[in-house]
Amino acid sequence: MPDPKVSISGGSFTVQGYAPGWSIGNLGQCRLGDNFQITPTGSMSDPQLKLGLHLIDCVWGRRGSIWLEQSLSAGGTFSLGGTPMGSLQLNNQLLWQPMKDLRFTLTFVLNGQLDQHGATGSVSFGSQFKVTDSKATMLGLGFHF
Amino acid sequence: MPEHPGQDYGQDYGQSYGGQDYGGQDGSGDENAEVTIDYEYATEESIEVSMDELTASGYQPEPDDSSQYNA
Repeated sequence: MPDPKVSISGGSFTVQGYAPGWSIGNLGQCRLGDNFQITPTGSMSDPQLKLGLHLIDCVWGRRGSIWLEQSLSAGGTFSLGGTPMGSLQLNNQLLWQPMKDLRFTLTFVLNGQLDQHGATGSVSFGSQFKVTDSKATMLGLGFHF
Repeated sequence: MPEHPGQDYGQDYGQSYGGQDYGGQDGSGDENAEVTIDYEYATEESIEVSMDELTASGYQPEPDDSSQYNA
């Protein structure tokens, strides 16, 4: 079996985004690199960077919307007027609500290799979201404060 | 309207809540106050992306060199 043309071990990429007026679901429909800066972390060769960025495109196109929806099954914390108030259970109504302020950090850590057939490996995906809108809007989404 | 409504907007209604009552489920209080929700999520999955899918995304395979490198 020939050696892989490109291999990535722990290749980390970060997307820090600010998307006022976007919904969280909108993120899953876009090509991240077309709208936000994807920043590699650590030292990678040009072939690794190129492969990593395209792998993120492909994986995000396939799994991004699912991950975003799954992320809403967990809980979060909320603050009011900048004052931390406590925790709350999220819900799917948040997915398609355009937010006055949407900030996020996505991280992708890639491990794998490319051969003539394609790429195989694993991805560790992490996300942090901070969404802000009026209390009235949030109440309309079914949140109780 | 106070600059930071969550801190003292109870006074808008002629009552002092000491900054503790921020509306409640009945929607009372300043509904223009900004609510920020923070949350996180993480997962790990295996990936398998065909060369066709990669090239469709714009990827151009490397010339036949061995570019193995641990990031």
